[in-house]
Amino acid sequence: MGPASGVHQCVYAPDPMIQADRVSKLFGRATPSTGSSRVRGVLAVDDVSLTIEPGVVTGLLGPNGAGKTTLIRMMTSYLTPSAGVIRICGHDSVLASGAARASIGYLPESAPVYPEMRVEDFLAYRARIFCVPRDKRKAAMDRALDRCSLADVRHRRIGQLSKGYRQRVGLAAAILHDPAVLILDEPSSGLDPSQIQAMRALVRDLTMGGPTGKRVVLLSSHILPEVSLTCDRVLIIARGRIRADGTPEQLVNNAASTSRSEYVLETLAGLSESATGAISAGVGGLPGVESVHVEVLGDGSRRLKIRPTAEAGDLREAIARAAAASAPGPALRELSRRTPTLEEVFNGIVERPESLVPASGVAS
Amino acid sequence: MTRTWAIATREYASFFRTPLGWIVAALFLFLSGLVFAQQTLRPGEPASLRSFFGVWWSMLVFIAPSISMRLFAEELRTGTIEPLMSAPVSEAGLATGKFAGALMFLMTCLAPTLIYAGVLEALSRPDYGPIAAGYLGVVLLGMMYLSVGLLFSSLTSSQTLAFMLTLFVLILSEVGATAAAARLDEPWAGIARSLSVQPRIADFARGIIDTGHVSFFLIMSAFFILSTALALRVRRWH
Amino acid sequence: MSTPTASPSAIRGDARLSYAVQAIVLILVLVACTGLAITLTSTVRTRIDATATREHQLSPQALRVLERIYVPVRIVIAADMAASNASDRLRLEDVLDKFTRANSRLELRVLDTGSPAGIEEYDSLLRSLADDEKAAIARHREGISAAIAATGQTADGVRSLLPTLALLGDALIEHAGGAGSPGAEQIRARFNEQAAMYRLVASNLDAAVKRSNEIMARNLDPLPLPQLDQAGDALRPALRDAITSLTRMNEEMDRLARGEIRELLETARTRARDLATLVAPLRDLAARVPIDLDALGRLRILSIAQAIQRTRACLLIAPPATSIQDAQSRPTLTAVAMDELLPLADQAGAQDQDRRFRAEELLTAGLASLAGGSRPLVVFLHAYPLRLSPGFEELQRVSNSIFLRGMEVTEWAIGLDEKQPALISAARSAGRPIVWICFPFEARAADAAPRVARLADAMAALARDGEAMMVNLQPSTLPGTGADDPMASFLREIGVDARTATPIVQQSRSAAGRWVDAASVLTDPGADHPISLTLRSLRTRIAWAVPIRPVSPMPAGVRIEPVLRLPATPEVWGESEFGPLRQVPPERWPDFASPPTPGGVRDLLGDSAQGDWTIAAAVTRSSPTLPRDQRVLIVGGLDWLTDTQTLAGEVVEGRPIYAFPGNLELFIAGTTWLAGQDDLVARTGASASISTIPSLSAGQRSALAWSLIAGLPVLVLLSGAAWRLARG
Repeated sequence: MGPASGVHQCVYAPDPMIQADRVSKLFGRATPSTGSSRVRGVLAVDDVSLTIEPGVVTGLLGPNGAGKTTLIRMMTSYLTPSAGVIRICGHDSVLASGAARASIGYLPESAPVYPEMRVEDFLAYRARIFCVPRDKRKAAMDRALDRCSLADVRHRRIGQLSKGYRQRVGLAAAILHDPAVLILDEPSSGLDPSQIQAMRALVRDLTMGGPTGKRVVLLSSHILPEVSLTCDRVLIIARGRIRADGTPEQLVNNAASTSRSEYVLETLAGLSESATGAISAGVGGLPGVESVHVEVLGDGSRRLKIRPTAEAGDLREAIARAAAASAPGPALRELSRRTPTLEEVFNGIVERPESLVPASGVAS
Repeated sequence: MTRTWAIATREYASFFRTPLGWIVAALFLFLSGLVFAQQTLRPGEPASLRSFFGVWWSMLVFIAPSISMRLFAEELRTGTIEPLMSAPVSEAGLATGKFAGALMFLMTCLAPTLIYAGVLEALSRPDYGPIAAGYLGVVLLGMMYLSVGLLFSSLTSSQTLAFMLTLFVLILSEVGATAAAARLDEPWAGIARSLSVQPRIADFARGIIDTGHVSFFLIMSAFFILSTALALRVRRWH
Repeated sequence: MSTPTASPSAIRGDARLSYAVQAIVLILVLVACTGLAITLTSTVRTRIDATATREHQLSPQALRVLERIYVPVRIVIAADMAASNASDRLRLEDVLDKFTRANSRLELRVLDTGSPAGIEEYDSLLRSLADDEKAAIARHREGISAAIAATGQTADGVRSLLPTLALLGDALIEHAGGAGSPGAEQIRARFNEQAAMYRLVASNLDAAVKRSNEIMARNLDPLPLPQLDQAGDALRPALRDAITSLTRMNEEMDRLARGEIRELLETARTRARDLATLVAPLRDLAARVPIDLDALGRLRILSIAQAIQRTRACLLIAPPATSIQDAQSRPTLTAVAMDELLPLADQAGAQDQDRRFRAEELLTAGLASLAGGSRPLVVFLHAYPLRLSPGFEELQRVSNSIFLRGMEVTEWAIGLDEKQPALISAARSAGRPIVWICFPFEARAADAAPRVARLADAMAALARDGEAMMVNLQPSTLPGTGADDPMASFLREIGVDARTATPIVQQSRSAAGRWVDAASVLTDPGADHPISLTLRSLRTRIAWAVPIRPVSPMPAGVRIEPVLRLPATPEVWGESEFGPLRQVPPERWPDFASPPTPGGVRDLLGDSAQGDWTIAAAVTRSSPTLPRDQRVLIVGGLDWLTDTQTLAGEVVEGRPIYAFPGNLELFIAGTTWLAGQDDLVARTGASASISTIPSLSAGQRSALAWSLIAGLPVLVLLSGAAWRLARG
């Protein structure tokens, strides 16, 4: 099913959601030549398909330049996809752009606001732009100000506010019309730790609301802890493609189950060279061990890094036995298995040329 | 409509929120006052604003770009264009709203010059027909100039560049049209002449309301506003 | 795209291409729609005149003239378009546009003589115009050649008299007692003098012939014909002298021949008789020439020659006449002064404001002259010892303006010609309206007395015969001495008492002191005669205005309507002791021992007590003896129609404007009314009123100017600052 035919499908979604179907974005120039089109330029988003469900906080994680902001901008209709279809609550972001945009609350990166305006003037303006009915405008503004704890600065000019406040003003403007979909691009950038904490709580809170009571909340970040602490679901994007998808735990488990652990063995200080060699050979001879790497530590002990093969199970017992068998007497001071952290998973995914992790959220 | 109006009023109010708006208004009044005192306020001169309107159009060449330069360029520079263009506002609505805000500001600048008509009334018996027609002409001309400025403002994030480009195009089109009309052969000369605003504005100043002139300014304004909308749409495609 | 793995970049490229196509199509559609809409709205357009005075519509007069155009008229404008101001050009185009819109018989043709093609077209146009009048031109050429020949013969004849004259001298010397006698020297000297004079006459005639031949030999660039009328006029002064001298000689010889000096020798008498027989035919030959020249009339194409320049002209061309009657009633060609219609760029700036009105007025006048109907003849009747025509010096503006309105202008210099010029009787028999413009004349010199008497008689006769006249008046000291003023007394018969003994003087007071002036300047005519209506809000200046009163009882059938009326105030009075005052300019009046003041002593005739001062009045007289109602316009002034007044300009803040536009308007409207062309008596475009800024004191002006230049912007900046302070 090509994206072109998808354009004509009318999808009714009872629950708000963001659907992306083979979305690509190319920056630069297309030069049509005989037969096929040669493409020059940067493929910022490359054939991304995903569905984002309401009621949970979804994080879009990726290094700078990975295509996060481009993807978000296509979702908010600020950019038009070069190919593929995005639907917001079932509205095509290009063909029914007005309806799609009306259901989104969007906080762009670094929260651009009019510095010369007063907080409440700005909110009133945004309320009018989103056609909040005149009689509900006041209540909507009060609610947004209240939720973002801005009540005490409502008469201040935005230009005089600190970065954190400004970010909150942007957020207040985004939730003003009680949108079904809330998209936050780097919401915590430039905030101090306590502000980040408050922002996290606020974001989690915001999954409740919208017309159906459950809201799509999508936030992007390049900071891992932020995402792992706030989000129920993490999408990792790198070089324009979704590389991983799942809850933070799932991602780690997946990584643990699929990626190889590492065993570290440290000998006692002063153990003889030959003993060390024997241990190394013994361990290296174990089935399931791929390689052993020895390094000398400063206190005279040796550290053996043991890399298992992909199929190997838990090798701790076998290694301990093999080590004990290879060297007489007490020889070891530590034997440990290292499983990867989310950070390492992230780095691994990002640095690997092609994802080996099956992305659960990818539509076919 | 509500959205367009919201954008227009925000734009209008923002002119007064920045010192630039006040300075432009004051500068405009200063130059107008100078022209009025030098050209009209002299014994024996006709009690009309005709010469005044005659000079005004050339002042608009400078005033209109200085009003229009910030319309989009400012938003592009600060990034506020992003929440604006991801809000449910059509490109045409956005361009129209911005344009209307600038036009309202221009008219606010013009409003104090009604005092000149009051001065004439106090001194003599002016004919209000040409005065009203002249104001109509200036507003229409202002519409066209602002719409040109709007387009250039949407093409660059630099206000200075938007101002210079608009000024350049306005001056070039006027001077070029006059020069071309004098040099070209007839069908082309006619077209070149019809692009020149000076005779049109002179008609208004004389007290002639020519539907041809009125629709020329309106159509040209609509053209540039729609071109701006198109430019904004192309910006999404990038 | 059949497989999910199809290259996504191919799809993307297509999408981007389609965006580009979409954008280009949208731009093209937008441009096309805009172009179409502009073309459409500029074709189907309405011009709404928002001015209260409807100044952008044709004046009522222009519209009336256009109604009378029943033949197709070509308006040809030839000009180097690059040499004139764009704004002037557009303004002219506007006016022409209005004319062609108002009458579909008008066809506009613009030749740009800035290009070689345009010059070629212009030259061929002028050639074809000359072709149209080929017959008349040939007749003129012939007539003038004959006149030149006759003049040459006269010169030869005068020279041939000299021997006979010498013989007569000898006879007379002999009669006086021979060569040595005391009287002989005197007679010799006298005859030598006479001979010298005749030689001079003869050489003057030769010079005239030479000059005339020169003119004939040279084409009047750019017209392909010589300036025939000037060639004829070049002969006139010498001929006039010759006729006078020959007439005198003839009279003298007659006297001698008839033997009035009884004891004259027979030889002398015979010589005188011989001379007389020689002189008489010579005189007749000379006298014939001007009459023949007059009979040639004016060549139309030459009458507009002054308005045709090498590369510039505005010509109004009607089709050639189809019959003799048609030719007499309707001129087929006229021209409009191009320098006023479309000035060269370096002349622009002057009277910028009025140029549009001027263009309309000029074109209206030109078209009026092409409109059908019998052309009025305007005769300047005066007793000055000189001829005004053909140049009408000092009366150029008024004579040109009526000439361009299709009237013919001539004069009766009653001091030189006792009889009316033949042209007048010809016009009368053709049934053309004749308008007499009468100039009063007062002279103390004894030799002027017969002229004055003749003028007075002629005017009285015209008034009696029911002729249409414009009678101008000047103050006279005669009534003060108990005598009648012959220049005004005849008016009593048509019910007008012109108080020439007490011209109007007025005073005004200012900070500089009391100021007395003999000039009455009116902006409001103060009357509602049709002529007055054309003068509303125009400044009209009449110096030494003579008050006009109706006589009582009023003669039967006479109606007098004021045309110009000066309100009666204590500051205006009729000054009886004006004699010395007239000799010096008003600024020196305070030097007089008893400077003029209002009051009973000077106001001898008590005119001041009689209400408003009428200084111009229109008289309509109906009488069973008259074929139709007589119209007389009496203007209590003389210098008002001179170029000095009608061209007087003042520079108001660097801009020259006509100071007294009402003067010309009074003349045009008056002449038109007298000619019976009532429908043309309407305010011309030139006189649409423009209310102006009154004069302000320097202090007032600068206060006002600075409060507008600086006050208003500062106020705005302050309110901006206040706004910011208040709202943070």
